[in-house]
Amino acid sequence: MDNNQLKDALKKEISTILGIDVDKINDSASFETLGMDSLSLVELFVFIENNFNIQLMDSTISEEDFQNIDSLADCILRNKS
Amino acid sequence: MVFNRKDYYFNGIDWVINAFDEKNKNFTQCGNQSQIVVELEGKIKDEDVEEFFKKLLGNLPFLKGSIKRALNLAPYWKFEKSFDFDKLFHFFKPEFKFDKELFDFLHQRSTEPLDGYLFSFDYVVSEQKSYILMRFDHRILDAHGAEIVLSYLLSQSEKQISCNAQGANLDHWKSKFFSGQRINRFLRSLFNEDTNLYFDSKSISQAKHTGSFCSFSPEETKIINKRGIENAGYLMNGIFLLAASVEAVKNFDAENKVMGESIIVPVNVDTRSNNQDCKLTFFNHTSFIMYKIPSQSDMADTIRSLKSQFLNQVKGKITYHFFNCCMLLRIAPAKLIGKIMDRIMSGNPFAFSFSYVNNGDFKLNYVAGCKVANILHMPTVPYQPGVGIFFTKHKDRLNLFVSSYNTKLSYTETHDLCSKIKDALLNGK
Repeated sequence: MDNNQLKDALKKEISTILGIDVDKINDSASFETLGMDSLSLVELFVFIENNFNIQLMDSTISEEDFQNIDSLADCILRNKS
Repeated sequence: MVFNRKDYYFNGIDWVINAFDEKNKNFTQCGNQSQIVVELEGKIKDEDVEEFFKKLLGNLPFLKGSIKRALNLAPYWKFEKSFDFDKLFHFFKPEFKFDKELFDFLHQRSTEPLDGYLFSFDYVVSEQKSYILMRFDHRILDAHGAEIVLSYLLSQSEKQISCNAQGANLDHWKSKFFSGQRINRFLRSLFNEDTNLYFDSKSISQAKHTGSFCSFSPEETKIINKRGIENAGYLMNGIFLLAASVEAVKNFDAENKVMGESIIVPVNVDTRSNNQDCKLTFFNHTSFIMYKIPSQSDMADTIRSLKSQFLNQVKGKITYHFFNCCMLLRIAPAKLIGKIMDRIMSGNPFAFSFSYVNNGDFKLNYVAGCKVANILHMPTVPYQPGVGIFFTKHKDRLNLFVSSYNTKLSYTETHDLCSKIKDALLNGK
């Protein structure tokens, strides 16, 4: 899966979790602005764990990695390799 | 608006809250209700106050409600709009020397029984500030819904707020029973043979609500946010607040605290997704996450444990299963559910209730030309566990409200607990 496919998959999942249109999710829009809270963030973690086999809940990944789709996709690719 | 009685069925969580409401009323006449306080910088002109609140009350779709059962046996609301303005609105101009006196007054108003109504409003003017108080019955609104409703009412819109239907949900029985099975297993694993920390009841003849409130300054809130991110992670402030509360409760030297091997805390969570807010204003769209924390752990261990349980419960869809299986409980009368709850609660399974409303749905910056300075929630804690730790955040201010029955914690003890939580949030390790 390349970076663009990964971003599309994340957008689709975030759209389902938050109940907002995929079109409204910009690559650089912060998760907090989109209305993400701890419950929705953990739902996203479960999706990432199930699909990319990366456990983010117990990781030491910084706040910057969870800012938006761009930074999260980079973080997943970094952790996968 | 046309009312069709069948549109206003109770969901399962509404019905459980209704059972808590009956139990609470047995203790203090005050049901399962809450109060939102809107702190304003400035005041509404005296001559405009009555008109302002008359318009506001007129914009509510109903003010009274009674519970009926339909032919399909599902309970539903029969709403009424008629009201007596003098009963539902009170204007106060108290003269207080200290903030503490004002808080005590606001808290005393929050426990004023609603007398069959679903809402009640107060306007309190104290020096250069004023406070709009909305008390509401929790059977009809949860904390998020209440902020949406109040925000709408205070915008003084010309349109009445609408209440969307809630169906009987008499389908998918297999899924509801499956959820019930999952929750039974989950609860059995939670309440194993460990003894749990709880606050034992004092023998006081007249049970009353008591509480303590703490509003953190923007600087303190910034520190707490920073510590939350450092210790629990991004968007995990709720976990940090809960861990600090657990730490404070463990270190709290109460007269009647019974120490155990673990601490079990039920946490209320909002189940709405973003685009549902406007549709799901009324009724309860909440569920539960339940945490079990070993009492010997330090704050870092507690955070680790909470995060891992949070992840596992989301994976196991526990919040969905709680909401779904509670639909089955509607067949039982509230009194019977109350008796079942009494039996479960006689083992004192829970230490305290916890919730965190983070920058909720109150979006107004000004009300009647006055700047909104803060929003506080003052819920009355359910009869069991009888102690509640409730956080709300409005813009750059975190607020903490410790609510209790005097049979569990005295007035002074709620203040002590509040200080201990504050200390754990700002300095705890």
